[in-house]
Amino acid sequence: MAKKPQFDFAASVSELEEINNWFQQEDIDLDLAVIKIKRGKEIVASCRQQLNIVENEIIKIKP
Amino acid sequence: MKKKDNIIQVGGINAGITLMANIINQRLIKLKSMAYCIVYNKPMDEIYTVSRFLDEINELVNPKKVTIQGEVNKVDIRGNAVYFTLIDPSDKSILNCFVWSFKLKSFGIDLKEGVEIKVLGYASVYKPFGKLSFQAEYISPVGEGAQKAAYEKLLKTLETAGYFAPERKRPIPPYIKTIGLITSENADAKKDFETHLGNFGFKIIFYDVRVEGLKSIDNIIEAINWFNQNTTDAEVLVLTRGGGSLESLQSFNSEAVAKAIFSSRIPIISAVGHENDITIADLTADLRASTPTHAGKILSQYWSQAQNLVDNYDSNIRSIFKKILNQLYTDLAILEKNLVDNSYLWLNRLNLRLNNFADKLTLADPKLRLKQGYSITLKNKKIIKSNSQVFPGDKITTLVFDGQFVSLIDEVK
Repeated sequence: MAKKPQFDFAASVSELEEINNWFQQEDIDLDLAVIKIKRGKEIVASCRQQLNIVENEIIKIKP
Repeated sequence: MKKKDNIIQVGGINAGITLMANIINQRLIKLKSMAYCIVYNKPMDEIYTVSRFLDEINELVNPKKVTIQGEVNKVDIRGNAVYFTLIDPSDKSILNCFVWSFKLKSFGIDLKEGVEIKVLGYASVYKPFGKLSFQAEYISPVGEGAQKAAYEKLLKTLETAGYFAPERKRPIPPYIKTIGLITSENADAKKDFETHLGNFGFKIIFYDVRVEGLKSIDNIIEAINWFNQNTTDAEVLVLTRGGGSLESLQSFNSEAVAKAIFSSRIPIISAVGHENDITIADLTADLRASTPTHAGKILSQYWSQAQNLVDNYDSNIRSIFKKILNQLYTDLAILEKNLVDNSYLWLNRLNLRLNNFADKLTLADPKLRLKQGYSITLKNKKIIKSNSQVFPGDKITTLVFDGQFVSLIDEVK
């Protein structure tokens, strides 16, 4: 079974920051704004899902 | 003598020799048994050749790594090898030792007569001479002063070699999820690190190593190499232990551990000792945490702020979008108002123009002229505009304001 790719939290936060900065500009394209909002909401949901995992997993290596 | 993980720690040269003597004694008992069989004509187990016997001794003693403390007696440098003897001051017992020159150089110590040292290594019998020799894998000086001198010497060498250069240090990425932890299972440092790391869903791959004594050097190197060769998801390695004397931290001040850290593909955080203990491992690592607790905090700081950060971004984007929508509604309302206002203006203007037009039409209405006393004369339902259109005897119709009358033309002039 293929390994599930690890969620890249840092990249997600960077993308959120990018979206946030995009909304700071003067002229906003409304159609694009709707797409950005949708994407932003998706990322926020994924980040929150990740933040809900609170238990640490410890794997001991036996040399 | 303390036995742990198949490695026997020996306090002094006597104990080391005793250990090997025990091993040899076991073989001698076997030899005695063989002699008994010959003398009393009993059946014999087997007969050893000298070579085979020495091979078996070597097989037994080679894997046993021990640390022996003693005083350097004679030093003899021959090419790439350095031969020296260790003497036990209590009873003048002597152990022949051997170390490669390049290894000795990396220990940063000056091997000379009278110096007290600790040697980690293993024994073997050199078959052509039948002589037992101890091969040193690591040598450290005994005594704070000598250790400090060795530390300073190695520090200088590695600094010159660029081990501590800031430009080669890699940043520790934020939001790390998988950590390779290298420390001792029983160390307080492990507990401190884990406590301050917090619970953020970390995956901790823990490699249990010794963190004290010369034997820990190999252990730590094995762990660093293991992570580099066997894991793809460990984003950072944390090498940690609590504080201690220069002697107890000697593995973290060894060139071998520094080399392993320097060569690691995975970035390393070194958190060795307390605030004031700066080891060579700390200086070589990509990041030095002052304590195990500090290392935990470094890795958890981003996660502890992540919830707020995500909430803030979410709230910012929502409020900005709401603001944009509100602005859009306002703009639309203004447009609508302008449209209505303008349409009134336009209608008024149109009305005015229509009225003007109507006035003009009214003024142009022939009936108004008829009211004023003018009349229109028709012949055969056509308006007579010229007297050339009529002839005497023609019947013509004249329209006046309130009616019409018919006449016959008598004369045309």
